[in-house]
Amino acid sequence: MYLHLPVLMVVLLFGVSFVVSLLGKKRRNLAFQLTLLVLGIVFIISIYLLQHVGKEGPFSYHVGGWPPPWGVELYVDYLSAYVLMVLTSISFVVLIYGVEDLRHELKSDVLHWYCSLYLLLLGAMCGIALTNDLFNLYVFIEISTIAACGIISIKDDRKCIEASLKYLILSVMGSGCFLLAVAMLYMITGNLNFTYVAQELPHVLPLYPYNIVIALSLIIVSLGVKSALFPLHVWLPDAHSSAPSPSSAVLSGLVIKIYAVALVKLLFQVFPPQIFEVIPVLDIVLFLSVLAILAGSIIAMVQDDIKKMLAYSSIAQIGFVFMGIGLFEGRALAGGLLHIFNHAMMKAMLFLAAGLIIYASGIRKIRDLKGIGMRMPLTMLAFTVGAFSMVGIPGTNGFISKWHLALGALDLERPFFVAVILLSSLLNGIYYFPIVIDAFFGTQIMPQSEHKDVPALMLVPVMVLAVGIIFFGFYPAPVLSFIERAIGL
Amino acid sequence: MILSAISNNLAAADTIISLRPVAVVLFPMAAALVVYVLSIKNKRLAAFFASLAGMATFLMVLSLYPLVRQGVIEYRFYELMSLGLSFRVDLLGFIFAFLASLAWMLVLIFAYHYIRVEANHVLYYCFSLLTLGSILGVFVAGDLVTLFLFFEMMTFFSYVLVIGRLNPQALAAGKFYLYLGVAGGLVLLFGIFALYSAAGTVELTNLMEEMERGPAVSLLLIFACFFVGFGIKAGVVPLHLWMPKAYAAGPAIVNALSSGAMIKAGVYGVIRILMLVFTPSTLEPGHLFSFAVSTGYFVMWLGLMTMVVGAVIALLQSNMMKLLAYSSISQMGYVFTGIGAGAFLFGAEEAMGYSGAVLHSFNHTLFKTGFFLIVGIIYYRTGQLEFKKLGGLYRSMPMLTGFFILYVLAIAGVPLFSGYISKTLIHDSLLEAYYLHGTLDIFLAEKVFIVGSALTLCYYLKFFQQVFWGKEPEGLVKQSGTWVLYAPLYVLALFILIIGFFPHYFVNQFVLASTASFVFEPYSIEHVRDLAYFGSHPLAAAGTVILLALLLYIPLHKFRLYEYSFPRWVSIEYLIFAPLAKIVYFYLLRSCKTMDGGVNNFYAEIGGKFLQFCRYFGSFDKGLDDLYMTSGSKALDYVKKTRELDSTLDEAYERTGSGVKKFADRTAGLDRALDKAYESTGAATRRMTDRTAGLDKALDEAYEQTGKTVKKFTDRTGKFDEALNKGYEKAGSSTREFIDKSLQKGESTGGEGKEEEEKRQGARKKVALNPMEWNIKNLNFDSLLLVLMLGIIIFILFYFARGLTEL
Repeated sequence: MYLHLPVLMVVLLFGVSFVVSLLGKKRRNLAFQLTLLVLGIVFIISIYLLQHVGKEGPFSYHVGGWPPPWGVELYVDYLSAYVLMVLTSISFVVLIYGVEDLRHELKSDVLHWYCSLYLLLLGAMCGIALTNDLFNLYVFIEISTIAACGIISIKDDRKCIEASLKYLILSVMGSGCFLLAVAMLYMITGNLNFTYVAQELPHVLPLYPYNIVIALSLIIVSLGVKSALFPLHVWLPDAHSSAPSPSSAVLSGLVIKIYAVALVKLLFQVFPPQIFEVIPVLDIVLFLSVLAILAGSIIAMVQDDIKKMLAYSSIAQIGFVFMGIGLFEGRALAGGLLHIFNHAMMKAMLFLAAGLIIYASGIRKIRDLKGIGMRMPLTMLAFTVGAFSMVGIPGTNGFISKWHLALGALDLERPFFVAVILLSSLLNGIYYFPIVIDAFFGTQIMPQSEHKDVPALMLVPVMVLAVGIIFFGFYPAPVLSFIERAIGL
Repeated sequence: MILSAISNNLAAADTIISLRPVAVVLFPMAAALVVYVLSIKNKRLAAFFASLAGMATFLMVLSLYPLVRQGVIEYRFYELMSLGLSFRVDLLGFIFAFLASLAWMLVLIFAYHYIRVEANHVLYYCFSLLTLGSILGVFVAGDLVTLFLFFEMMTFFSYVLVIGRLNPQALAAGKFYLYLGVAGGLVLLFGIFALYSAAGTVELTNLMEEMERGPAVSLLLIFACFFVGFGIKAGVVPLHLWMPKAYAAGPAIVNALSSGAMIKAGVYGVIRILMLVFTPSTLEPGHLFSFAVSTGYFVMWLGLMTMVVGAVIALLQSNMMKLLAYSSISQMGYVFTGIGAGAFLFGAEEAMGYSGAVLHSFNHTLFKTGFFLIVGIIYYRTGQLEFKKLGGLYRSMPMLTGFFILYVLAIAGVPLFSGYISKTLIHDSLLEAYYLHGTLDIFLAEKVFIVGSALTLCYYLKFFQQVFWGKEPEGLVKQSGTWVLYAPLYVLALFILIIGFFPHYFVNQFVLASTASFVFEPYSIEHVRDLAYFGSHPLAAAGTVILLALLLYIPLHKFRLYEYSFPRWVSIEYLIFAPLAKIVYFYLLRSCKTMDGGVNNFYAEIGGKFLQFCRYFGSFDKGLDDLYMTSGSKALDYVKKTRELDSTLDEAYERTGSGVKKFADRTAGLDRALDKAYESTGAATRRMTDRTAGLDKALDEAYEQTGKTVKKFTDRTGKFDEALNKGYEKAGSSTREFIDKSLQKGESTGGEGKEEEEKRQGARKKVALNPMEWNIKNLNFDSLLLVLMLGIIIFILFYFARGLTEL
C-alpha cells in the first residue's frame, strides 16, 4: 500500500487542483475546505513516508508499472522524505492563514483559482522532490514556475503583474536552460533516469567533457535563477514583496528552496563525484553564496518596505543553503539542508506576521511600525522570535543551522566562511532589531481607531510557526538525524 | 522529548545528578510570567511578588550549597540543541550564582519602594527576573554552548532593562549596548566554533592540548575571541564604552544589578577561559605553558590599564552614576589584574591571584551594589544626580552617610573591611610575581597598582566632599525614605564586615575550596590558606595607599582639578571607535548607495535606450502602417481598375453568357467587401460581419439571377444575416458597455489618493495592453545578467574542463 503513496500525493494534489478550479466562485468556502483537506491528507502521507523511510529505508515507485529505463521512477529517499515533510507542513500552515487573509487581499471571484494554483504549485514541488527522472524533473519545474507566477499575479494590481511577468520571463529562460541541459545529458548518456545517467556519466566523461561542463553550467544557472542565487536574484524582491502574504510566505519559504533541493539531487545523484575535484563548480556556488549572504543583508538594510526587506533577507538566507551545497560535505551540507526547513519556518512566519500587520493596520513602511508591538503583542512577539532566529540567537532554529554550517566550514578548514556567517548575523541584527525595538518601545504614531482586530485563524498559524522555531531551536535532533542519514553521515 | 540523565562515569564519586540547577534558572523566568499576569490587575501586588521571587531564588541558590560541598552538581539534556545542554555547578559557579542572586534579592526589595520614581514598573520587574534566570544560567552552565545561550539571553533581557526609561537617551544607550553585546556574542561564538572544531568538545575543562591538535584556527585567535566576547561584558578598557552610557541612562536599580552582577558574568567567563580552558592539563614547561603564562601577563597589564584609566576618568565625572560607572570599570581592572597575575604565575602562586580576583568580584558586588543603592536613595529623596546640585547631605541623611563611609572604607582597602582582603591578595600576587621574575615591568606593575588604589580613594573622597559635605542647597530633600530602602544596605554592610574580620574563614572555606575544579599547584593553595592578612607588609601597603590618596587629593581639591573636563575628543570613543564606525558605515552604505545609484542609472539608461528603440520601432511601425495605407490605396486603385476591367469584361461576359457574368459579379462583390474590410477600422468581429454581409450581398446578387426559389432562400438568408449583424452589433456594443462599466466599477471601488489613481491607470492600461507601459526596463538587464552569468560559468568551467579528459 505504502508504495503507491508518493504518486498518490502528486496525483491527489493535481487532481483536486483541477476539481477546485471547476467549483466556481460561488462555492469558494468549499474550495478552501477541500484544499485544506487535501493539504492535511498530503501532510499525513508525508509524515507516514518520513516514518516509513526512517524505519525501512528508501524505496522507489515505477509509474504505470514501467521499470526505470523506460518509465518514470519516483524515488523516496531520506532527502525527499524530509523535503516532502517541509513542503506539506509549511504549506498547510500557510494556507490556514490564507483562508482569512486571501479574502481580504484578493477579489472574491479568483479565490478558487488561488486554491487551484496553490495545489498545483505544491504538487509540482512534491514532484520535484520525488522524481528520479530528468525530463520529469523538467516538467515539474515548469509546472511549479507557472503556478508560482500565477499566485503572484492573481492579486490584481500593476505591481504584481509586472513582478510576475518579470519572474515568468526569467524563470522560463531558466527552464529553457534546464531543458537544454537535460538534452545534453540525454545526448551523451541516452538515459533520463538519474540512476542510469549516473551510471553512464563516468564512462562518457572523457569522451564528451564539454557537453557535461555545459550541462552543468546550464543547470547551475537555471536552478540558480529560480532559487534567486545572488546575481540572478533580480526578480525576487518585487515578486515576493508584491504578492499576497500567503504567496510570499510560500514563495520565500518553499519555492526558492525546492530548486536548491533539485540542485542537490542532481549534484549528488547524477554527476560523478570526481568531476568536482577537477571543475570548480562548487567553488563558484560558494563564491556566489557569500556574495548573496553579504549583499542580500546589506541591501535589506536600506529597504523601507517591510516585505521588501524580508524579500532581500531571503536572498541572503538562500545563500546559507547554497553555502552548504557549495561546501558539499559533512556538517556543512547538513547545516545547509537543515536551513531549508528552518528558513522555511522563519521566513514563512515573518511574511505572515508582516501580512498580519498589513492586514490590521495597513502599514507597510518600516518607519511607521513604531509602537505596533503594544497593539499587536502576539504578532510582534512572533516577529521577534523570527528576527532572533534570523540573527541566529541560540534557542532558535536559526542558530542550529548556522552552528552546523560554521562547524562544517571549520571541518573543511575554511574559517573564512565562519566569519561570513557571523558577519551576516551581525548585519541581520542591524536591520531586524530596530524593527522589534521600535515596535515595542517606540512611540506610537497611528491612532488606535484605524486598527483592525486580527482573526484568530490568522494568528494561530503565526504562533504555531513561532513555537516551532523555538522548539526546533532546542530540539533539532529528529530533523537533524534524518538529514544526516540523507547525506550519509 | 527525551530527557535523560546519565551520570558522568568519569567522576562518579563526586558528581551529583540533580535538576536543581535547572530549577534555579527556570524559576525566576516562570516568576517573570506570573509577575506579568499579576501586573494586569494589581501593580503593587506584582512588585511584591517579584521581591518574593527574588528572595525565593536566593534561597534556592543557597540550597545548592550542601550539594556543592559534596561535589559537582550536574544535569544533562542530551538531545537539546544538537550538542546537548548541560548544567554543572561547582563551587566557583556557586559563588557567582550566590553573589548574583544576593544582589538581585536586595535590589528587588529596594525597588519595591524605589520604583515609584521610575516609569514602566512591569517592564522592570519582568525583565529583571528574566535577566536573573539567564545570569544564573551562565553560572550553572556546564559547557560553553549552554553558557553562550544564557549569555546571549542575558544580553537581550538586560537590554530591556537598560532602555527601561524609554527616553531617547536610554534608547541610544541601549542601542549601543545591544549592538556591542551582539557583536561581542558573535565574536564569542566564533571562539566557540573554533574551539569545538579543534577540540571536539565544548566542555569546560582543560582543552589546550586538544585545541592544539586541531589546526583550523590558531590558539591565540580563539583566546582573543573569548576574551573580547567576555571582556565587553566585563568592561575591560578598550571595550568599556557601553558602561558609562548605559549607566547614565539607566535607573539605579538597573545599574546596581548590572554593576553588581551582570558584569561578573564576563569576569566569570574570563576566569573559566583563562584559568581552566586555556591551561595545560599539566603544569610543565612547554610552549603551551608559556602561552598560558604570556596570556596571563597580557591580561594583567590590561587589568592595570583598565584600573588606572577607569579611576582617572571617574575622578573627572560630574554625575554620580557616571562616576560609579567608571568606578566599576576601574574595579574590574583589579579583578583582571588578579586573574592575569594568577595565570602569569602558573605553576607557582596561581592560587593567590585567582582567589584575589574571585574575592574581589564578590566584594565588588557588595560595595558597588551598595553605592548604587545609596545613589538611588539620594535620587529618590532629592531627584538629583549632578554633584553641583547636591551637598551637605550628612545632616539630613546621617545614616546614609555612615553607610557611604563604610563602603568607601571597604572599596579603598582599609583593614578590617572586605576590600582590604581581596586587594591584599591581588597585591601580594603582584609581589610574588616580582619575587619570581624580578624584572622592571613587574615592579612597575606593583607601583601602578598602588597608584590605582590611591586614585580610587581619591574619587570617593571627591564624591563624599561634593555630596555629603559642605552646604546643603535649599529645598534639596523632597521625600523621606523608608526602612525598605535602607534594609539592603544593612545586609551588604554585614557581609563586608564579616569578610573583613574573618578573612581566613571566608577565603579558605569558599574561595580556596573552589580551586578544586582547576589545576593549581597544591603549595600555592596552602600558601594562600596561611596568608597573614594583618601582617606588617599588607598593612604597610594599605597605609601607603591611604597616604598617597590624601597627598593626591589635597592638590586636587585645592585647585579643583577634578572639575577639569577633557575636551570631547579625548576619549577612546571619539579617537578610535567613532571614526572607525563612521568609516565602515560610510564606505559600506556609500558604496551600496553608489552601486544602487549606478544600477539605477544603468536601468534608466537601458530603459531610455529601450524607449528609444520602442520609438524607433514605433516609427517603423508607422512606416509600415503608411506602407499598408499606400498599398491599400494602390490596391484600391487596382480594384477600381479591375472593376473597370470588370465592366469591360462584363460586356464581354454579357456577350459570352450569364454564367461568366455571375462569376464576375461575385468577384466584384467580393472585392468590394474586401475593400470595405480594409477600410474599416472597427472591431474585428464587426469587420467579419461586414465582410460576411458584403459577401452575402454579392452572393445575393449572384443568386438573384439563378431563380426565384433560390432568391427566396437568399432573401431569407439575408434577413438572417441582418439579424445576425444586428446581433453582432448589439453584442459588440454590450461588450463595450460591459468593459466601460467594469472600468467604471474599478474606478469607483478604488479609494482616494495617488496610489489608487496609479492603480486605476494601471488597470486601464492593462486593458489597453500598451507594451510601452510595461516596466520592461529591468527585464533586459536581468536576462542580460542571466546570459552573462551563464557565460562566465561556462568560461570558467571550460577552462578547467581539460582536466576531465584525463579522468
